[in-house]
Amino acid sequence: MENIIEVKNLTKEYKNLKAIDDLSFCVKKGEILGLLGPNGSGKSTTINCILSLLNFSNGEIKIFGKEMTPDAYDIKKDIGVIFQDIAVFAELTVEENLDYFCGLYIKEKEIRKKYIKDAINLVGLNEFKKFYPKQLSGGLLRRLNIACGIAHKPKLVFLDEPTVAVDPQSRNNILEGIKTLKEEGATIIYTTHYMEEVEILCDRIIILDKGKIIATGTTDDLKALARIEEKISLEIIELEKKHFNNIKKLKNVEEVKYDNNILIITYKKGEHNLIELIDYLKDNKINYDKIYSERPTLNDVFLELTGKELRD
Amino acid sequence: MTIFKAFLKVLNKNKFIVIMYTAILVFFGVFNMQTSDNSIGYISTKPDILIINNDENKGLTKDLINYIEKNSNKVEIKDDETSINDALFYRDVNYIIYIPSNFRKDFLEGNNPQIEIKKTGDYQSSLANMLLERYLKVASAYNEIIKDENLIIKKIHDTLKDKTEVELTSSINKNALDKTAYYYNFANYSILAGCVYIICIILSSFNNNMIRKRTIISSTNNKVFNRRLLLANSLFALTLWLFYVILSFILLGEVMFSISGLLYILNSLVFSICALTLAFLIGNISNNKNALNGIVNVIALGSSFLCGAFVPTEYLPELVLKIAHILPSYYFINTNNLLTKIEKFNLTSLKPVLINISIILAFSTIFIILTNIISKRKNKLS
Repeated sequence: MENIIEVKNLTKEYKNLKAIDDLSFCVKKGEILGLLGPNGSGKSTTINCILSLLNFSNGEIKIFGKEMTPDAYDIKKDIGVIFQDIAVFAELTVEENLDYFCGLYIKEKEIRKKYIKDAINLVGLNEFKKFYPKQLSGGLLRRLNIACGIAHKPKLVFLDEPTVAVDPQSRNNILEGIKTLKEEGATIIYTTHYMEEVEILCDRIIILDKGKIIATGTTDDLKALARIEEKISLEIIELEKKHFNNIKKLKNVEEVKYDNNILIITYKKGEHNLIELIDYLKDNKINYDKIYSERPTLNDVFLELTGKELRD
Repeated sequence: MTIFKAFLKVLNKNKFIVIMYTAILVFFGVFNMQTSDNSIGYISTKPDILIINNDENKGLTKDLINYIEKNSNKVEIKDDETSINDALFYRDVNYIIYIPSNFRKDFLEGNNPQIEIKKTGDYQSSLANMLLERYLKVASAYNEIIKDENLIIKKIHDTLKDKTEVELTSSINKNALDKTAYYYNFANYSILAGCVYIICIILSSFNNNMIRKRTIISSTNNKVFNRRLLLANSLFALTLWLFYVILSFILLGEVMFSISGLLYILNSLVFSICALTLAFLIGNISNNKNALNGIVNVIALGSSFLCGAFVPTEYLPELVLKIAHILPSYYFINTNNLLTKIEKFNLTSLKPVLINISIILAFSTIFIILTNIISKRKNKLS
């Protein structure tokens, strides 16, 4: 499949600090790439370099097969960017804001009119066309921010944490809008702190730490990298010490925690872990209630790979 | 068109500030011009003169006394030397004329009779001296060619009457020019404050960091964007300038249709361009709306005081004027003041005006270059 973005040996240095260290990756046409990493990992620096908002020390960046430079306006016309911070005019209405930002790309009035209508429909702001930004709630404002970035129907979209601090309704609306963009053929680079969004949306994920790629692949590929296989939690009233120690000695058990009558057992790779546990409980006549088995989440993988929570 | 439309909408949203600010500046401008009126207007004064006539009160002697009394304030003082000297000392009288006996007869015979005078030595006594000398010189001139006393008196009347009319016309033009200079000197503050405040308010929206970032990554060429934004702001500055020019026609009338008036308009146009470029520079340096009031006060009010927009430059200390040389306002105000003194317009008399205008244009060029440098630096985050 065609590469939309090609980054080769990208390095960005600030005096003695390497913000990006020899980074290389590609983004395929039509895919949603999740860019994950703790704060300071180099996500924003990478995006700013790709967009030519930052000079870089070394490397090569190609978009749509052409070298990206600050004056590459023929490339820029097919790029849309949605920043985490709101970037709209307080003095213009929803419709006027869209007309201004779309007008920076599309000169023909009739085409622009149609595109603005499509963007308003996509983010569900039909009832708020004549509203000024200060009259909109936080969620609606974020939807306007997104609409301003994609109104000109770009082929490549950068979304930098678009769902931060929004209500569930707006969040669902935004996620649905992103899925629609993908269906329409757009290639998307998505950064977020919400793992569930990454799992729902992204075809591929890159995890960055200290300016380097530490893992890349699909959600399943990344989960396979984790040392743990599953987590089993069950409710047991007053578990005796000897049983606690015996469970610790069961096959594949990595870690056991018992707190507030909840027993959590973390397993390494292996099969039939749940069956063996239930057999032990039955044999020792231990009563239990509410048993759950969970596969490792992306957050577990992230924690294991970086040693940090995603929000650190 | 997209940028211009957005500019107009942002301006429209701020129309209350624009109208209020302009109204305040106009009010103070007109008020300043009206209050300055008394200090520059022509006030005709008459000296206090005492005439002691030892001749017969008829013919040429009578006419001389009538002429002097008509153009002076007649003073009555007791006819003794002590009273006269006291009156002179206390400035009750500025000038005393002693007409000798047989003055009329001797004068007509061409014997050049001597008139004794006593005076205080101030400018009013000089004025009285001028009155007396003017009459005697004209009378002597006609006495040489005309023998008829009545005809001489008639000719004297005609001559002295003509002279007075010429002087009055000249005085009115000077007053009007002084008023125009006052108006346009205050316009230094109005145009500078208006342009900087309003353009910076508009630019603060366009130069908001996130909006700017979104503009930079768009497919609109950055240079084209800046040029269009500058053009939109130029139209605003031009409208503001035109408003003050129209107001000057309404307030000052006839003088604005003269060459001097035209030069005042040209000078203010060049200065408006400079104010626009300065506003553009400040708008690129800071987009903090809260700091704008302070910035406007420092720039507009500061330069107006330093360069003599409110206080005439003659009253400003030399050091202040030296500092003022680094500000474009100095050259704008200097031109306004020069225009009140130019009587004949030619290349020599207009040379300092043209130099001043060129300096203001040079300031504008510097501001544009600085704006471009700062804009380029801001566009790159690193």
